[in-house]
Amino acid sequence: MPIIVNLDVMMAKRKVRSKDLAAMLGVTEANLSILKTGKAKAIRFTTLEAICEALDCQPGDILEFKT
Amino acid sequence: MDNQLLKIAMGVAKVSRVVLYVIIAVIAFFSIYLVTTEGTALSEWLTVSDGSVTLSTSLPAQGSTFPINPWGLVINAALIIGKLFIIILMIQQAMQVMKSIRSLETFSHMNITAFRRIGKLFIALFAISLISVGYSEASYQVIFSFNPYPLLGMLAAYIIAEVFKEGNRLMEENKLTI
Repeated sequence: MPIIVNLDVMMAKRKVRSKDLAAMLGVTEANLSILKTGKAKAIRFTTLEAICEALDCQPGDILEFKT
Repeated sequence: MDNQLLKIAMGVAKVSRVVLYVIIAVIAFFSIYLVTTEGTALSEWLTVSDGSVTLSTSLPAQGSTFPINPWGLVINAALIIGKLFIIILMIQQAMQVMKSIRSLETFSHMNITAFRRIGKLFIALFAISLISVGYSEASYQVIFSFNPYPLLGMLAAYIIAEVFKEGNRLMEENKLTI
């Protein structure tokens, strides 16, 4: 899939655990894992907004397009 | 999911299934009884007029006989039992769909298969409805008749299966939307 999710990289930079981030976003750890492993088909803007707020980053830090 | 209408529908389906089983048992019993006694045991109860057979508790009028070959009745009874059994299978598939709706798995793959099975059962119902046996004093005839309603049912079932298939695709996509 050409869209790469660099969530785990940003989580490592900010030293945030999956369990804590899932609680902040209001999603399950399973769903967060789906997002981290690139299996997600889509992401809601509200979720992306919540991730950027929790990790103090830009959407471009989380999502990357690779050909 | 607590849906009163769904509960009522499930209840009606269960009762209908039991009633149909009872009807099948009654028809089967009378058919076997008729064949084993060669029609003589029931000749007091059956009156024949204008090609139709009536079950009645009153004694037959003087001179009336039981000229019908009981096998003609048995063949028709078997056809009716076949149709009723197909309807029972349809009810079972519908109950499976209702159960999955109650457990919030409306667009599961099982339901797509269930509707396709209902479509196939309608085809079987159409095939059985094509033939019936008519009987008179001297002989019996095989009558072919075309009844389009099971075909319409088949069409509706397959269309609903495709709708559920699309619903399943959307549900899977929604599951993977974070």
